[in-house]
Amino acid sequence: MLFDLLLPVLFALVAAFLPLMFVPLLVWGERKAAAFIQDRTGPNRAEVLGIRLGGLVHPFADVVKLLGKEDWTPERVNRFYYNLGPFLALFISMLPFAIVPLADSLSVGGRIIEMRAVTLNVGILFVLAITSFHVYAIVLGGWGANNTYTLIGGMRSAAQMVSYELAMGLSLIGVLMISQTLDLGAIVRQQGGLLFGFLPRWNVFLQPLGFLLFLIALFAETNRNPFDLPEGESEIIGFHVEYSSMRFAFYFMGEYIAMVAGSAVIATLYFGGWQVPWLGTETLRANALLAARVLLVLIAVFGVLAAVLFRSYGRRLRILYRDRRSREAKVLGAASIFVAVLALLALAFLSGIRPLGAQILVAAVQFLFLVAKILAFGFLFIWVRWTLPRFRYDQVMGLGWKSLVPLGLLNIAVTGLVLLGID
Amino acid sequence: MQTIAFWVFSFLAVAGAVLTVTRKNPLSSALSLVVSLVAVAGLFATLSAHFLFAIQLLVYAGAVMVLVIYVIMILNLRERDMRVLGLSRPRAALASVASLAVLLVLARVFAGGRTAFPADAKGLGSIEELATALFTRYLLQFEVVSVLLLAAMVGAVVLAMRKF
Repeated sequence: MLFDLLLPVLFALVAAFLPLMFVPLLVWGERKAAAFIQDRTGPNRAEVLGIRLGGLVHPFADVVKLLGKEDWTPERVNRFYYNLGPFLALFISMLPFAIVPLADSLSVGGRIIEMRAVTLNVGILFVLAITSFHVYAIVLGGWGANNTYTLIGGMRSAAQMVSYELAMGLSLIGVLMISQTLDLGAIVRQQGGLLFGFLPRWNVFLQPLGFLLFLIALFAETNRNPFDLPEGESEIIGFHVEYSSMRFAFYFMGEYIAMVAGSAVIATLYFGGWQVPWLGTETLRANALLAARVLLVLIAVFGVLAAVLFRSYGRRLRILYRDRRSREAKVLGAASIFVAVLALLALAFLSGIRPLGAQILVAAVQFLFLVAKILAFGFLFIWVRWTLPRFRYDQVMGLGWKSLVPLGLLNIAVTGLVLLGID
Repeated sequence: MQTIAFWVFSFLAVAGAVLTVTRKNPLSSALSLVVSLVAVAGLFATLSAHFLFAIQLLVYAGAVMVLVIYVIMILNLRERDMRVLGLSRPRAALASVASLAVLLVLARVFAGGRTAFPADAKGLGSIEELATALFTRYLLQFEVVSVLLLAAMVGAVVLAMRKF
């Protein structure tokens, strides 16, 4: 009974905090990738006791900076809407994580535990509904600030998001026709198995055009470059010009969480979600001991490799810096050796896994694969942002209505014909 | 749990609806309506009508209300732009009571004394059941409504294209 009450709370907490944990990682990734693409070093100054982690400490310094900034509210704003906008942006962007299945369901003591906060049999429609709610956050911020530029920025983005929702919905229908269900859990489960004997049966291989359309629409919905006209930092003024300090940070985090959530949705719909390529849940569970051993060996090997790399890095650091920053490689090298030794010890003492342990292990592995897919798409978002120039507004609208919508309709027709032919 | 959810969503729906007609600021009115619509979606969800829940959020609370708000913004409507409707308070009260009475009668007639859904109905609220009903038993009505919507859309385009 208590278990029944606690489990949804636990999953709700996971759904809330998981996207938040991705944010510092992606912010760091964005800066480092931008630096790499522009032939710079990127952030590397912030340190905690000499530990810099290649700039990974910077997001925390950013948080401190944003909290310490003056929280300036312009005069004559509509206070309620001005404050509501950023909160909505953060809250709404987290919602898709409530329905994305994080791993295959566990069966413990005769009951089946779905690895997601809400089991909704119309998951895809819920995702679309959430994207349409995102418009409110932006529009309210633009209106509430009582500034003509922010108002125009908010309206520009509302028009853009409403237009691309249509393309997004149309591109999804192909997936629905193939899977015959709207439930995200069932869609992921169907993506196990093989296609033509060697490819994982992911929807991306069955719906390449639909995937491309969905991806483009997702870029537009999350307001990422080349569709970042709602912000338009460098030339056209966007909806959050009047925001500072933590309220701006909420919009900023909202954008990154929307990116993470979009990556999770696209991984779930087109890249098999938690599916481990070529290895189904049953296979993994049957060979849990082997899987655990392979994992431990991999951890040990990577630990030793990291230690070797940190050693040469340490030599360079000692030449470059004669202060506590040179300690970093030593600390990290020791940590990776420690992890490798732990993994080897565990490997030596591991003799068998109970069925429940096997299930949990498999769920953890599947969750890690989902995280890896999310991070891969996060990197794609970043890569595109620093590679492509921004569209002009009429180009955005033209692409949405004149290319994506007809192509989406074509995709539906072709999918229908193929399905009819197979029948 | 169900009862608590029902009362919370009902309260939100009614409060949102009341605020929609009492707020002076047009944007506040529209957003109160959004709250009301979302609460009604919540009511659908407690009745295990998941598809209606999603469609209510997607179409009404999402698309339609976004367009309403878009129009409010594009015309930049503020409180001072709202013409006061020539309706005195007693008359407004009378109108509300009358419409409430009509609603109650309609609910009585169409519910036919039923107060709850049959609990054991197979696939209640599921998308399969809905699609089967729409595309077999109510196919004619469904197509007629589609044609009506298409005609409305064409009409809107014709009106918008007319040179004044």
